[in-house]
Amino acid sequence: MLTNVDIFFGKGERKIARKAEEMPVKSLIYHHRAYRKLPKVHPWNTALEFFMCAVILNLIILFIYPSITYSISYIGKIIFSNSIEQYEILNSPFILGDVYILDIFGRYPSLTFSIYSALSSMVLIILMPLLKFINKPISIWLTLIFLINLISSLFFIFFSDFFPYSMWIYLDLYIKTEICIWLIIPYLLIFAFLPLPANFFSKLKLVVVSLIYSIIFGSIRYIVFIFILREYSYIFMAVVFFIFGPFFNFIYIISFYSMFVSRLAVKLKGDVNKWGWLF
Amino acid sequence: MGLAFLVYSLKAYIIVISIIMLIYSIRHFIFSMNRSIGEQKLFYQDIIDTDLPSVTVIIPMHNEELVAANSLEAILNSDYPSDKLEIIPIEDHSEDGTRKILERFELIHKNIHPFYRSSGNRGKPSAMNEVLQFAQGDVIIVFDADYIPPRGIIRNIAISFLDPEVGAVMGRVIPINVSSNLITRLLDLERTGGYQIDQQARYNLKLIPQYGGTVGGFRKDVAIALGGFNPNIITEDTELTFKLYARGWKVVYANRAECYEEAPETWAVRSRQVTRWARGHCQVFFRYLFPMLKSKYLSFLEKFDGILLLFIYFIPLILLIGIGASLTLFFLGEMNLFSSIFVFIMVATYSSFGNAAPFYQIGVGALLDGSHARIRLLAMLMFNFVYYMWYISKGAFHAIFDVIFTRNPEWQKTQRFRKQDQ
Repeated sequence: MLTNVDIFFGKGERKIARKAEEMPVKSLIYHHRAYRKLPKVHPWNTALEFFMCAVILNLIILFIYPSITYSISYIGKIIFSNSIEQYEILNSPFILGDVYILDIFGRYPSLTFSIYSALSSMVLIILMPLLKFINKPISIWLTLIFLINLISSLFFIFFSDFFPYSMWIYLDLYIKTEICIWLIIPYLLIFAFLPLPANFFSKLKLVVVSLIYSIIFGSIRYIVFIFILREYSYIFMAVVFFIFGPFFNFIYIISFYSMFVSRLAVKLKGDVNKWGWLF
Repeated sequence: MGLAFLVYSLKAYIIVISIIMLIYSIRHFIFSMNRSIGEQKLFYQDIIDTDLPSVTVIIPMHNEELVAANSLEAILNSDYPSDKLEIIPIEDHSEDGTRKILERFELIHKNIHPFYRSSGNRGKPSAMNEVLQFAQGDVIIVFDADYIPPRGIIRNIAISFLDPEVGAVMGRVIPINVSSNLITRLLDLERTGGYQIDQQARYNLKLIPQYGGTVGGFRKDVAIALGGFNPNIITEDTELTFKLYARGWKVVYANRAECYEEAPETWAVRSRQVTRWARGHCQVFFRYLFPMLKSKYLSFLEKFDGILLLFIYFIPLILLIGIGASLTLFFLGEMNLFSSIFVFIMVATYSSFGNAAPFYQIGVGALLDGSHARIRLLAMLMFNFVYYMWYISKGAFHAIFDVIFTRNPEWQKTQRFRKQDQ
């Protein structure tokens, strides 16, 4: 005979509902989640505290970014220099100090390569909606990548002499954007953390970890971008910048945030006194 | 000269978008703070009164044989006094076994009065207009056919109409099939941000909580007096919200009144759904922006929130154009630091566009709900950003063309996924 549980719930839910039926009777039922609040924080004090921290982190970044950019460029120099080509590290003024950029050359695409690139992008754009095994968000994401690459390829086919960037200009823009993002991250995360009932130092730890990760990952991308533009030509500069540039930073910032909130939810789950209630 | 003008225009456009994004980010930050630590406005559900209004529950159905019986059984299980409860399932041009199911229920239960439609315009607004003419309840409560209303929800929704200022009530929607696949899990996250935080905060702050067309109710006489539903607007819920506000009625949000729905399980179905929402929402923008702004019943803050709410489905479109502007600047050699940071800020502020909720809002909502495992999927919403940008822009474009070419859209039903044996 069918029970209400069988009628109203699907496979997974039925299993959960049965499990719930087997659970011992609770001595006390707490308020519903609709009545739940987070414990009171003193927003202005906390905001001030965090703001101070963000300012200190910003000062540290402003103090160390010349060294970081020099180190990355130095690593790039070791990787890409050889007995024939020796590259220099040049400085470019930015905010309080200089950023250091590897003075390296990229490759201009040949006309044939640009045509092949345009054609393959076009084919892939047409194919994407037909490839049903790729789910839609990924398929649209890939279509955007191929579309940007198509525009770039067409630019090199018709206006290759007008391409406005050299490797140096591009790297200068990339590294300055990254520094700005390093400066934004503490504020972004700190404000996102503001209402969360967690220890101040655990929040600060996560902001610092995100920053370190961003600096390391940003540096790796710097090297990878040089490799792509040097080996496979400037045709991929637009894709590299728009898809894997500043856009990409967001994934790990949110990943760190979500892991933090997830751990916090587990902590709060077992302790009803840690919640604020409407009643 | 012409090129310089283009460059300045594109840069100005990017600055304008950045300001708009900043306004939305601040708005949603205020919502997150308010819902998590601010004063909460209680709903009426804990008021006990025997003088309950008479209610007509309407369930629009078009080819709903997979889900019809479940929702009717659930409503019949309600604790609402049966002498004050009328149930009208609308069989709207169905070609499957929906009619047979309704006939079976009509035979057994005296307060189920199915309404069969096989002529006229198909779609929820037209069907609702017809039912409003003969429904006996003072209050109309609507559930979509895939919903499983819990036992006390009709009482929880109906009680608020004892307040004479209340024109409509909205409950909270929760996917029942969360564990089905990645899509349903991500949609659950979006719903959490949208209901647990957004709607409740707007209710707390006396802004514009929205009637969502299902798991909600409205006064029958008011809906009739306002001219019923426009059959050419495909989001009749948003239309009713703004009609009510413009005439001085309030919409209240009942966070406690939770109801389970079946969330789309495929991206194809979700894209059609979100395109339809965007198109309908933008249609309402064109028709009700000025009446809302001119309304003497709304405060400045309500009007401001109303503008932001009505404009929300245009955001992906203006961001899409923003990407185009950035690309143009890039190839013109004008990609500067500001433009490149814009790309980051754009994503950072509006990463998840299903319910127009930024990541911190969804994070706080999921924390309040205690969904510790699903929060870890938050970063995956970033991939939805481009997906939503595309489909919502498509819906917004349709709405613009509807206005230009005076087209009337056709109603589209969302596909169901419930298994026959469930």
